This record gives sequence, C-alpha cells and structure tokens, in this order.
Amino acid sequence: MGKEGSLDTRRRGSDWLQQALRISDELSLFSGGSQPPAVPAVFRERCETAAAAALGIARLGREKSRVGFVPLPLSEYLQELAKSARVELDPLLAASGIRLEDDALGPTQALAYFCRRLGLSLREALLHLGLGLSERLGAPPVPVVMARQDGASGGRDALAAYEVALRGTLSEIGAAGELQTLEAELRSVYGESSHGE
Amino acid sequence: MEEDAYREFADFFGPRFQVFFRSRGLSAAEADDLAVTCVTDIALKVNRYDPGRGGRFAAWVFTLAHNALIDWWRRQRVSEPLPDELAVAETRDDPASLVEVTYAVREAIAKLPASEQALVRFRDLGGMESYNQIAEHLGIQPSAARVRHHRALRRLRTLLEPDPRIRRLLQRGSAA
Repeated sequence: MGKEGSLDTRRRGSDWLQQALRISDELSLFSGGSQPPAVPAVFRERCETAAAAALGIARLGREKSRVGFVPLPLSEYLQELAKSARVELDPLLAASGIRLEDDALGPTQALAYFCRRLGLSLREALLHLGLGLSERLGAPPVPVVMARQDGASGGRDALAAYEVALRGTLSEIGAAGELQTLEAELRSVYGESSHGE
Repeated sequence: MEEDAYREFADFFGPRFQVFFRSRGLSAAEADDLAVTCVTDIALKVNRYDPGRGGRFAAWVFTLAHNALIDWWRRQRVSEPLPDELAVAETRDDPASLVEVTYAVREAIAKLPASEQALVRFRDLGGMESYNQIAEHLGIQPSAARVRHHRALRRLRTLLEPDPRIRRLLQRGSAA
C-alpha cells in the first residue's frame, strides 16, 4: 500500500492489469462475445445428462417442498417423491454417482451432495440416512421408540423428536458410532460453500 | 419447455465452463468433471438469480463457476495454497463488479489507437498468444509486435489505473 491509502500499483507491476484483462476475456466468453472451441460429442452428452439431472432434482425439490419431511429412509422417501413428481429416479441417481451398495444407496458423499442439491437440510438428510441405517442394522423401529417417548417429546419440534428417537434406537444396539460417522461425512459436504452461496 | 431451457443452459455454458477451467490449469479430465458438476449445480440455482442484485446473468454464472473452481481447488489440492490469481480474484457475491471491470477494460481499449487495440485483442483477449502469430496476422515483424504490445499495455495501464472500477478490484486484491 502506498501513500494516502492508495494501492502500490507499480510494485504490483502489471498483475492487476492482467487480471482485469483476464476477467474481461473470461466474461466475454460467458456472455457469448467469444465462442469456445467445438467440444467432443461425448462431453456435450455429459452436459445434457447433467442438465437433465438438474431438471429431475428441481422437480423432486419442488415436491419435497410441498410434502415436507416424512420419516422414511432416503431411498423410500426419494421413491415417493419421484412417483408424485413423475421423475425417473434410477437415471437421476446414476447421473449423481449414486448406486446400490449392500442393499443401500451409496456412497455417502454422493448421497450428501444429492440431498444438498435437493434442498434437504443437514438434519433432514441425516435423519433420512439414519433411518435407513437403523433399518438395515435391525434396530427397533423408530416409530416404536417414538411411541415410547411420546410423553417426553411433547413440545419439541418434530425433527428433534425423531433425532432423539433415532439416537436412542441406534444406541440400544450399540451403533451410535455409525450415526456419528454418517453425520461427519454429511457435515463435510454441507460445510462446503455450495459454490459461493 | 422446461427441458429445453435446461438443455440450452447446458449447451451454452457447459463448453464455456470447460474452457474456463482448462485455462485455470485443470487437466482435461478435471475440467470436464467440474464443468459437468457446474451444469447441474448452477442450473439448480437459476431461480435464485436476482438481476437487480447480481448484474448480468452471464456475470452471475461466471461468479458461481469461479467460486466452484475455488472450492474444487481447496478440496482437491488441500496441501497446495490457493493460487494467487484465484485468491486475488475471489469475487463471492459480487458479479456486478466483474461487469464493471469488463466495461472499464473495454472503454480503455477503445481509447487506444486502432493498431494497439488489435494487438491487445489478439494477445490478451482472443487466445492468439504468440507474437509470431500476431505478427503474421498484422503483417509486421514479431519483434515489432512485441514492442507495440508492451506500449499498448503501458497506455492501457495509465488509462485504467485511476478508474474507480479498477481500484475496487485492486482493493479486493489487497484484502485477499
């Protein structure tokens, strides 16, 4: 920094100028002022598949906003949303890098990105995935635990009541650690900036 | 109708994302993957675009792509520091300022003599990078192309330095 709070542009040389020219050049590319070179058909197809996935997720997201949270494992919840929104789920999951692994959808990271794109909060995503985990591990059904807790859960918000029940049911079978691992994986994805937003 | 809009978005921006990421040092495979991810992620955010706040749509998309690149870099190259050019030009939430910079640059270039305008466009804004190519195109010696280009940049710097739009860019840079 030079005198009077001005910027020492001499010391910075032409860096700032190169940067300004670069921004101008790149924005011109994005504005259509300059044309990108032709791309291979394979890449164009990948882009179109990605756009179709965006459309599918947008439709599921609208349906999700309409129905709100439903305490189902993620795969069942998505199937219900897809049915109502008339979206083909399998190609959408495949395009998002999600596949069936040991009778469950995975990998967790791809699921987390998918949940975030869908507009699920971290808590909702963890509940959906946790309910699936609980079911696979043969833990007592969460609704039963919920019923047991009914008296105690009055006044809490619905998500909090499910969270308590889910933690309780997994603790009963000694699987609380697996839920924590799941939560850590989700947090690492949800903690990212979501492209500047 | 909705399908067409999404496809058009992909057809227009997909290749541009790819060129942009390649120009910022990603390998072809990395640029392809990130471009495809951006098509999905940014298309899903289109309803959040606010022309009043964010300037032109292209600038808004460019800002998100730029931020995606920063996120990618931080995720993939954890052990490497963010390159200076990305750190300096980090423009989160500020697509309008990019448009301002672009206008400032265009206006300044328009004030240069025609021959110098051509040199800057070829060398800095068009991708024709070598002085040999530029010289051939303009019918001059490569050494002359180099000298005139440097002169043009000097003039451009003098024109842009006091411009408040450029000063704001510099202030962001020093804050980064």
